[in-house]
Amino acid sequence: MAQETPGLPEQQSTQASPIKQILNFLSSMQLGIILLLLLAVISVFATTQEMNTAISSIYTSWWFVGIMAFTALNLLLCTIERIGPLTRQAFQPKREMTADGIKKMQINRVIKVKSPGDEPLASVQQIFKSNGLQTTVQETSEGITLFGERGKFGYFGSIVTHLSLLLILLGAMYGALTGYETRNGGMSGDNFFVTQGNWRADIGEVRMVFEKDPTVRPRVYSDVTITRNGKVIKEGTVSINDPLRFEGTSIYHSTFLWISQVNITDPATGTVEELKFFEGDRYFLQDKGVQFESLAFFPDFTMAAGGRPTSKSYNPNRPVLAYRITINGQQEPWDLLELNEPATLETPNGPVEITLTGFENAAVYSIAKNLGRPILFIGAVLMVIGLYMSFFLFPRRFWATFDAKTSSLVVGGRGYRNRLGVEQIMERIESEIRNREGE
Amino acid sequence: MNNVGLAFYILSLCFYFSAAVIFLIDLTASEKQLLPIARILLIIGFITLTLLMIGRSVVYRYIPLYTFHETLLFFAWVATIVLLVLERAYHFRAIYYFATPLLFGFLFFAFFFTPASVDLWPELRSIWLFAHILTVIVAYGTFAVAFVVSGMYLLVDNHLKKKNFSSLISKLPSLDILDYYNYKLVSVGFFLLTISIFLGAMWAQHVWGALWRWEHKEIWSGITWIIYAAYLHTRLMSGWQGRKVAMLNTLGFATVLFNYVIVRFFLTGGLHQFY
Repeated sequence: MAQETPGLPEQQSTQASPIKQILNFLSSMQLGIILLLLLAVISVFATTQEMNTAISSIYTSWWFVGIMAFTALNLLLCTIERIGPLTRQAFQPKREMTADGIKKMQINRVIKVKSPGDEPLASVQQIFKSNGLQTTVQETSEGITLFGERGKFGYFGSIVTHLSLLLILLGAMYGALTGYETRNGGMSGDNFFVTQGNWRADIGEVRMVFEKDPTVRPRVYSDVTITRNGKVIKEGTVSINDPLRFEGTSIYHSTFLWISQVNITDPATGTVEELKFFEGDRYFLQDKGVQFESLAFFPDFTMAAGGRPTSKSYNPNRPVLAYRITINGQQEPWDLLELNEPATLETPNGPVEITLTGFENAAVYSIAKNLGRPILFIGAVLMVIGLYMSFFLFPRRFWATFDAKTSSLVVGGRGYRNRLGVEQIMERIESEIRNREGE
Repeated sequence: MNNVGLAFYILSLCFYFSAAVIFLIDLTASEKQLLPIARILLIIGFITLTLLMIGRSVVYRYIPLYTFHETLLFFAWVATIVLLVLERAYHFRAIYYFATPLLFGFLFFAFFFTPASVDLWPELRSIWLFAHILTVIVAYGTFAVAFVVSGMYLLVDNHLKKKNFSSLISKLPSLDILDYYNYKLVSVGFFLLTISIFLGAMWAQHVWGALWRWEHKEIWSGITWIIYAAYLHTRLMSGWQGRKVAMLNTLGFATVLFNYVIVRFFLTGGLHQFY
């Protein structure tokens, strides 16, 4: 009967199960770096595209979201894998150390002392404390070891940072799944309905408050009432930097528009049409076969160099509407309409009189519901804490013992990712010990 | 203010230029001890620059961080503080040799952009925005000095590989020390860049209702963040040190410059069109 041939001990110990191998791969830092750099390279390419194209074809594509999901998985597995070892490293340090053990450390000093025994170690304990180290004294059969440490929470910096990144990704996903973003607005008396949120907004007064310098964009305040099924759920004023918030939804003032009030009069019949035009609006005068198009409104009109109409300021000192008419598909050159100064248009079906009778403003809103915002905020704060722990709380440990064989103090130190930092502290400790020894 | 401001600007330029030239002479001429003189000139230049920025703040009634000209001045100002801190905390004087010419370059670059003030739109008058710009420029200033340290590392490394032990090398710190300073500077810059991105997102959320709008400036800030994150990860977790991370740091600073200058002028638009 053939005997089962066992593998070599080395082979047995290194062969991990396929699942373990996959997990190791998914949690590896190499994969994390590759995914991050891949995201960076794709983003570089995306910036060569037009922004909206990039958003629709790259940033919201399944494969880009997939890479981000893999990055999140990598972060999660990596974090889980490291929590145990790091906790042990932080809270279960080896406090006892022999003189030979300390001498084997990369950073160590052997300092001859005059008085043998516990006295030099007591002195070192004070020096450790003055360098901010929490000290403990360990007595073993081989002697006394003085142990000092500081910054143990620095071990968890990377864990906190990774968790914060996961929270940010989670918050972004939750916000995207449960929220929405849209734009809407109007002038005083208008209303609009937001189907995603099943509520209606009625716009009350829209008022403009000018800055001291009239060339600076004025502030626009608009009163808004939010109702659902006829019941008021929120009322308030929306302005720049001051949105209206309700049910996790925010209405932000995005910008404002000028609206021209124009009267079109038929001299033959005396009928007057009172119309309101946004910039770019068109109106077809059926009976005259003419199309009127509002091009731009200038509150403080002037003619710039090169015959280009412009506005000197936002103050309505000289309101002018630039317009254009199209007769039988043939565009006429643009012309200007001053406030309360009628202009007569000659059309194939007789003259028509147009007058700019006034103007008003419309508010444009960005409406967003983002329930993931608190999660994102916690993630951001956690990340700042995590990075602080990683970079500025560097864990350091020092050991000292008296070597009776050589009548010397043996001091050694170890740091977590900061050898030079430990070296600097060691130099300070050494110099203080030598000072006390009178060297 | 225009003439007085221009005079202070020219004075700052002159002091930084003189300091840069004298530092370079000190570096290349082994027998001369000109470093203290150059250092004093740099400090006078720094004081002049500080007065210029204080003057702008008083006259224009805002902290001068909002136009490209102003950010360049602030960039040079912050980087000078980083140099002074490095000297004070680590006695790292050799950084002056290479960093001062770069700072002069940034100051001189500001000459090509209008020093006129800007009328802040209401939405720009926000403490979040101010904190966002402040932290990002401080981060960029720190990255600039880290880039210089990487350059110094590569220079020393090349000389040592060729067994060229010139007097120039004797004036520079060891590779280990340079690597350590590099790491410290990048970690401070990365910390500030992260805070800045969050502050910018919070400002955008507060004003426009969107934390992230996939704008070029945002994307390139993300790319810069990723490259410096890769630097820190490879250094801390994979034990990469020295030449490889110095080159990665150089790439990181290239993205900083790209975002700061190229994106500003060639990929403009959106909410970051002013900076």
